[in-house]
Amino acid sequence: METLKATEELVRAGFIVLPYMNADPILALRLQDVGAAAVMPLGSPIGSNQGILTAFQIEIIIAQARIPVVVDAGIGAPSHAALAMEMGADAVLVNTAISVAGDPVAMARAFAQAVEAGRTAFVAGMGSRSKQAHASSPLEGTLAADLGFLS
Amino acid sequence: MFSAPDFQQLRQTIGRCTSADVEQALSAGTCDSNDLAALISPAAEPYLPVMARRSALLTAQRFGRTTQLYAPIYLSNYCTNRCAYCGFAVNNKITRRCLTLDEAEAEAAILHERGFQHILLVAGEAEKIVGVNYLEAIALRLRPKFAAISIEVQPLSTAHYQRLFQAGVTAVAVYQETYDQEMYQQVHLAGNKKDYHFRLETPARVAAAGMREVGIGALLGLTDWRAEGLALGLHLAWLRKNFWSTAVTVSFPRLRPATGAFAPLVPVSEQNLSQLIFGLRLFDPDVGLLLSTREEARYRDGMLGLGPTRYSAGSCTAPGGYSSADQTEGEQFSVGDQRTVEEVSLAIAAKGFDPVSKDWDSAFQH
Ligand code: SF4
Repeated sequence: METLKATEELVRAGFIVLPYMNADPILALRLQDVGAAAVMPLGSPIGSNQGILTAFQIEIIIAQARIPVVVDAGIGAPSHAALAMEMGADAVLVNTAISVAGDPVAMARAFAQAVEAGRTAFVAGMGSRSKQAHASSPLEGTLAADLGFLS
Repeated sequence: MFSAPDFQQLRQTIGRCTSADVEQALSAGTCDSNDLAALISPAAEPYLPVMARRSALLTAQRFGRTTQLYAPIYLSNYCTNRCAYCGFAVNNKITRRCLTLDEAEAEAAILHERGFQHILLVAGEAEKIVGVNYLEAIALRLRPKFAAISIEVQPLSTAHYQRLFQAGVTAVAVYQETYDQEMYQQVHLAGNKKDYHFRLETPARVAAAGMREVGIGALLGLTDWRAEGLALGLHLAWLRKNFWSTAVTVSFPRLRPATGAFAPLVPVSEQNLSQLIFGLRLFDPDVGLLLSTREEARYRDGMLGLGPTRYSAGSCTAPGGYSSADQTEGEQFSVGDQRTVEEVSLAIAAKGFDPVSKDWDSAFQH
C-alpha cells in the first residue's frame, strides 16, 4: 500500500515512476491506474539469486498490464532471465548476478544472449506446458462434447 | 480509445487460418487474438466438439455449475432511429407506448414475484421520452427489489452513467450491432445511431463511469459473423486491458428468418453461433456470455453449461407485456423460447446445474 501511495504522489509531482513491487497482480493494476510508467515485480527476494519463484503471479501481471513489466530481483542466472522473457516480460533488471561473477563482462554478455533468446521464443509463440503427458499429435483422443442437439 | 477494426483485414486474417493454427490454439494455455481467429475460422469446424468440451470445462471452472437468469422489461418502444432490422424503427407504424413509473414498477413486481433478482430495462432510443431522469427515477424505485439492474437504451455520457450507477443501475449493454463500417451505414438509415464511432466508444464511457458491468454485442446475420466475432474479441480484450475492474459480457442476438420481418443478409446457423461462443470462451475464460430467448428452447437447453453463463427466461419484448393479456402486440422481436422461468429453471436443474437469480447485491455498491 505504501508503494501505491508513494507512486501516486511521485507521479503527481511529475516523476516517471518505475515501482519495484511484490508480484501482486492487483497491486500491479492499481499502480498502473495511478500512472506508474512500468511495474517491476520481484522474481524472488532481492539479492537472493533464487530465480523466478513467483512465475504464476508474474504471468498474470504480464497478461493484464498495459504498461511494461520488468522482472526485478532474484534473477541469479541467465536461464532465469531467459525464463522471464519467455513468459513475456518486457525486460529484466539484473545486478547482483553480474556484479559478483568471476568475469562480470562475460556474465553480462551471457545475460544479454539469454534475454535475446527468451524474447525470440516468446515472440515465436511458446507451446503450453502440462503436468501430464500428451500425444504429440495433440488432439487425438481429446474428450469431445456431444453436439447432437444442433439443428 | 478503441479504434474501429479494419473489417476486411479481419476477414483475411481468419481466411488464412489452417487446421495447424487451430491445433496450436487448442494446445496453447492461453489464447490471443490470432488463436481466436483460428478458432472461429472455417478450419476449426471439424474441431467443434473438442472446442465445446474445452469451453464447458473453462465455464465450469470460472462460473461453477450455474446458469444465471434474468428477464427484460421493455419500458418504451419509441425510437428516433431507423434501423433496417428493427420493428421499433421510427418509420414503422406500430402503437407506441412508454411505461409510466407506476407501470414499470408493476411489470417489475410481476418479475420479482416470479423470482427474478436481475432485470434488464430496455427502451428504444428516444432521449426526450426515455431520458436519464426517467431511467434514474425507475432505478431508484426498483433497486430495493433487485440485486442487479441492467439497462439497454441509447448511448449516454459518462456523467449520466455515473448518475445511473449511483441510482442503482449496475450494468449497461450497448451493442455495436456490426463492426463493419460499411454495413453499419447501410442498415442505420436515420437518427443518432448513424454515428458508428460514438457508439463504438460507448462501452468505454460506461466502464469509465465505474459501472460494474458492460455488455457488448453484435447482431449476427448482417455480415460475416466470423469477422464480427474477431472484432468482438478485440473490443473485449481492449476493455479488459483498460478497465480491469468492470466485468464484460457479450451477446449474440441472431437475426432469424421470419415472415414480414427483416431477413438475415447472411445466414448464421446454430453451428456457427456455437463455434463463436466456444471460441470466445477459450479466448476469455472470464467473460459473461448471454443467450436470450431469441433462440429456441432445444438449442438453449443443448448449450447449457457449454459456454453461455446467462439466460433470459419467460421474456416478453413489448412494453407492458407482462401485465397485459396480449403479450405479442408491439414486440421488438419474436421469442424463440416461450417457456416460463419455472420451466427453464427445471431444464437447467435437469442438466445438473443451479439456476441462479443473483451474482451481486446492491449492498456491495455503497
Ligand atoms: S434497434 Fe434500437 S435504435 Fe434501432 S430502431 Fe430498434 S430500438 Fe431503435
